[in-house]
Order: sequence, then C-alpha cells, then structure tokens
Amino acid sequence: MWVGRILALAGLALHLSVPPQRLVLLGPTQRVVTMNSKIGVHTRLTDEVEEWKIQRTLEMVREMGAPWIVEYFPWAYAEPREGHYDWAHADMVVEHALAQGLTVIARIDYVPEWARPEGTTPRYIAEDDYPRYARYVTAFAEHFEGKVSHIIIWNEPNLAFEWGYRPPDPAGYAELLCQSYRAVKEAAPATQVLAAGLAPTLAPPGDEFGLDDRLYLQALYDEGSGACFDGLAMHAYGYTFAADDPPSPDRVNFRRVELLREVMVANGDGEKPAYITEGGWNDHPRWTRSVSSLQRIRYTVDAYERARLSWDWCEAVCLWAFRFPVAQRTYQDRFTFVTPDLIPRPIYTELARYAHGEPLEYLVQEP
Amino acid sequence: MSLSLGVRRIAIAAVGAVLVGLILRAIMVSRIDRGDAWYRVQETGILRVGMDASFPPFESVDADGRYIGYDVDLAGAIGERWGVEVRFVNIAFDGLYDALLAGRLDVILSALPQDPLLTRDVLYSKPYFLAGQVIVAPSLNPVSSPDELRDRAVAVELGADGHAELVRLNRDRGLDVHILARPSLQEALATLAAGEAHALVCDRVDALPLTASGGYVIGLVPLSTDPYVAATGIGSPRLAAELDDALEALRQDGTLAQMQNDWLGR
Repeated sequence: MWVGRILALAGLALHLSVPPQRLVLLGPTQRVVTMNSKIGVHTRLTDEVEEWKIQRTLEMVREMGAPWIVEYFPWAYAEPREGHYDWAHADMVVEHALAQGLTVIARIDYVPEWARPEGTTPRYIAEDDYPRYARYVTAFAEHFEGKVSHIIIWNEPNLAFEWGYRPPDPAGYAELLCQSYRAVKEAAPATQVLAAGLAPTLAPPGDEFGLDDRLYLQALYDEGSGACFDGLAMHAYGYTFAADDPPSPDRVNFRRVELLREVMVANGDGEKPAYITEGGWNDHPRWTRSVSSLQRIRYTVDAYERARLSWDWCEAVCLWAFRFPVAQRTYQDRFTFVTPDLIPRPIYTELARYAHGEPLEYLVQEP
Repeated sequence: MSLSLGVRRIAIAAVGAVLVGLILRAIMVSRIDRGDAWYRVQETGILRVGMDASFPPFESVDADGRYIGYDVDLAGAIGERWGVEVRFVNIAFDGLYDALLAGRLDVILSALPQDPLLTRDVLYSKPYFLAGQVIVAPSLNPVSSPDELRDRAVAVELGADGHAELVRLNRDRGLDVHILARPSLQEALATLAAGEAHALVCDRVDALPLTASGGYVIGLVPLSTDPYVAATGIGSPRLAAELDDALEALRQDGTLAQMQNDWLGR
C-alpha cells in the first residue's frame, strides 16, 4: 500500500518537475493584408522543434504582408522507413500556415538512407529508386490534398551538389519529374506539380559542378518533359546587381528569370505560370556577392514591385530565407528577414511598410 | 631452469593466442584505416581543401586566379608540416559538407563555424580563430562588457548582426541602448570617432584592424562568439587528430598569430 503511495508521489513530483509546455492554439483563420499579392518568402521551419516558434514565424510572415511561403519537407524526415510515414511535423507547419491565411508551396527532396546506396549524399537518387520518390511525393500530395496546393519536384538538379555529386543529367531528372507528375496527378489531380527551380549559373556543358540553367531547361524540354509539370519554379538571386539590371545570357542577376521565361515560351509553355521559389539579396559586408543593407532593402522592394507590375506570368516571388531555426553564423544569415530568436531585421520592417502602403523609413536615407 | 610439459603447452598456447590477437587487430585496424582520409593524403601526397572562396580576408580568389586569405595560408602551413601538396576546391558554402561526404574533399577550411547538428557526420577540429560580435570603444574610455552600454548611444551598421545584438540587449536585458544604426560600418565608425556614440558594435574581424593603431580597444566580454574550425569526414579520426596536432603546433610556434596579423591587421 505504502509502496504504491510512494510511487504515486514520485510520479507526481516527476510530472511537476517537467517545465510546462507553452500552450499553442491555432486560433481563427487569419487573412493576409497586403497591397502586393505576389509577395512571398521561403520559410525554413524544417528543423524548428518548438511549435510556438513555428506559429510566431508564420504570424510574422503574415504580418509582413506576404501571402505565399515555400517550405522544405525533406523526404528522409517524413518516411524514416519505407512505407512508414510520419507527418507530425509537416502537419504542424501546414496547419499553422493555413491558420495564418498563407498559401504553401512544398519543396520535396532529401533522400532517406534506406533509398540510396551507402556512401552517397542525401541528394543522390538512383534511377531504380525514382518510383520510391514518386510514391512518397504522391503520399504527400494525398495527405495534404486541399491544403498544400503546389509541390516542387527536387531542387536545383542542374548542380552536381544537388544531384548527389554526379554530373547534371537533364534526361535523368526529366524521368524523375515525369514519373512523379503522373503519380501525383492520378492521386491528387488538383495539386500543381512544379518543375524544380534551377540554380542560376553560367557553367558550360561538361563543367564539373553544374550546367547553365537556360541550357538545362531547354534540355528538359528536349527530353519531352514539358508535359510533366504545371508550372516552373525559378530561382532569382540578384547578387551584386540591382533588381532592374537587364537580363543577359552571360550574367546572373534577378531578371535572369526572364530568360527562363523565354525558354518556356519558345517551347510552347507560354500559358504556364512560374513561381520564384528562391532568390533575393545578401547584405553581409564581407561576402563578395553581397550588397549593403540599404541596397538590399531597395532591391527587394523593387523586385516585388517588378513582379506585381510587369510579370503577369509570375504568380509569386518567395525570397530566401525568412528565418533559420538556428543561426548559421556565416554570411548565409544575412539572407534572412528575421533572426532565429524572432528579432525583425530592418528589411522586414521596411517590407511590412511597403506591403501595407505605409511611408518607408530606411529608403529615404538613400543618397 | 626447466619447465614441465604442461606449463610449456600453456605458454605456447598463450603466445599463440597473443599472436592471433595481434594479427586480428592489425587486420581490423587496416580495415578501419582504409577509409581514413589521412592515409589517402599520405599515399597521394595531396591534401584536398574545400572552401567557398568568396569570403575575404579568409578565402577569396585574386585577379590572377590565385587563392588568397587566412585559411589559404593556414592550409599551406598544414600542408608544409605534413609534406604534402595542397589543392583547393572552390565550392559554394551550402555544398561543402556534401562534397566532404561524397569524398571530393579531405578537409573543409572556410571560415567554418561548428554546426552541432552535423556532429554525426563530420569531425570538427579545435578552433583556430574566434569571430563574433564585439564592443569597440576609444582606448581612453573603454567598455568591458555589454552592461556598460546601459542608456548609452552605440553606433552599428544597419541590419548587421551587431544591430540585432543591440536590439536583443534591449529586449532581453532592458539595457535601453540608444542604437545609432548607420548605412555602413565606415559611417558607424565615423559616428564613434565624432564622439556621438559611446561605443561601436561590429564583428571581431572588422574590429581587429581598428585596434591596430591603438586608438580603440575591444571589450573583454563579447556579445557573441563564433569559433572557426576545420571539418573532416566522420570516418577520418586520424586525419582529424593530425589536424588538431598541426593547429596546436602552429599556435605554439606563433604561425597563427602571424597569419592573424597578416590578414586582419592585428
């Protein structure tokens, strides 16, 4: 009897010693107030473990006036064993995004260990394993049908790094894309399947590390994969160039996406939309491809304005990256809009003013 | 002295067992070692160092296409100690770890902070440089710690990590720092030089040259610390150990201090 009481007391003490969890409620569905419906950001909630931070991050996206997010849903996280799905974290992110009134574009890659040879990187997928990827993407589309409207098949396959440190292989990616497209369309026909955003690069054919994005996209069409996507994801980094710097085949700048659009049109895909799913500027003072903080703010506002006023083919501009769960402590941190502990950077507050039509603060300091 | 037959047999069996054990151990060690990049480096005489050469003064490419910077010199010094040639592989930062895992590199040396999420995949060296946000103040009126910034005007570059650190001090510690955010570090420094600010907050890499003339000093307590380390593959413990030994030797003989002076002005 007394043993039972001691155990009960011990259990109670243990229970009371656990720090209380912050109560997180979804709350009523919110609406994004903005004067530019194309504003978006690439959130990076993949490794965020605290629900209240997921919620607050997405609240801050809404409060900034951005109706779109791109979020990364690594395959390896959600299917730790073949056929066994764990949607808990992805559900949490998607439900909070929807509660904030956001539209979610899901990027899916990162191969589980069980689906690739030993010694390969998580970006390596063998052709024999394409059906496994297609099955996973289909399971994702079915699970989130009506909640996640767009899915991106892979990421930057024109880089050796993103293709498992193998030479870029447009034919291989075209096959992966088509297998995935057909499987998703059969299971969740309303889901929009986007071809992967390509890394903006001038790398010539045969380069060890990548292939020019324009050439790669044309090669995809040559492989007949034009019938295997509903829209094209695009990456639009400005580096040291202003948002209005004109596009040129020998230059990597924000408007380079207009050249990709030309490839789409030339291949009869002028009716398909495009979505900028990564891009923007970095303001780290020592990175050789960065700009000043004020320039970054100016170029970013100009980029959103360009999409709103001039790019009717572009549905959304989701810039990299809204916030990292933990600081990278490298120049990469200076792509973000908000710090890991949710302090808004000046670019965030200025974009919120822009999106709500309020007077700008920092840009008036420009010479 | 003569031994009985039984004792001899036991002794022979024991020696045999020891020999078998040694042979098995040698086989196991050689199997483990085969994957350790240290042996590949020794066999080929080439150390492959991965870096994102876009981050001066640590690594960049000059007008003649040569790799230059603190990390470049550090890799050269390590290669010299080991008697091997250093070959640099220039890879965008987000591809460095995968290149290491894919066996394209032996070492990452690229102003790299330790990432606690990756300790299952890579081995990190001991730190060889300490970056992070610091407080800079005139030598005649130094500031030792963040608490001394309470109610003070502090200059900082707009949007810099130091800017966020000051906002954090106000939010989390209620210091009521008057933040003077300037469009560039130079303008923030001019604000300090003009006496409009009590101190300046910036990265230690930017702060070191400011202290070279003796006019400014760095506060003892930093706002943040970002140690830079080298990374090797998880299967290369020997290479990681040799790397730590080399870094320690370079620290002891003053080479690291000299490199810091060469590239950071102090």
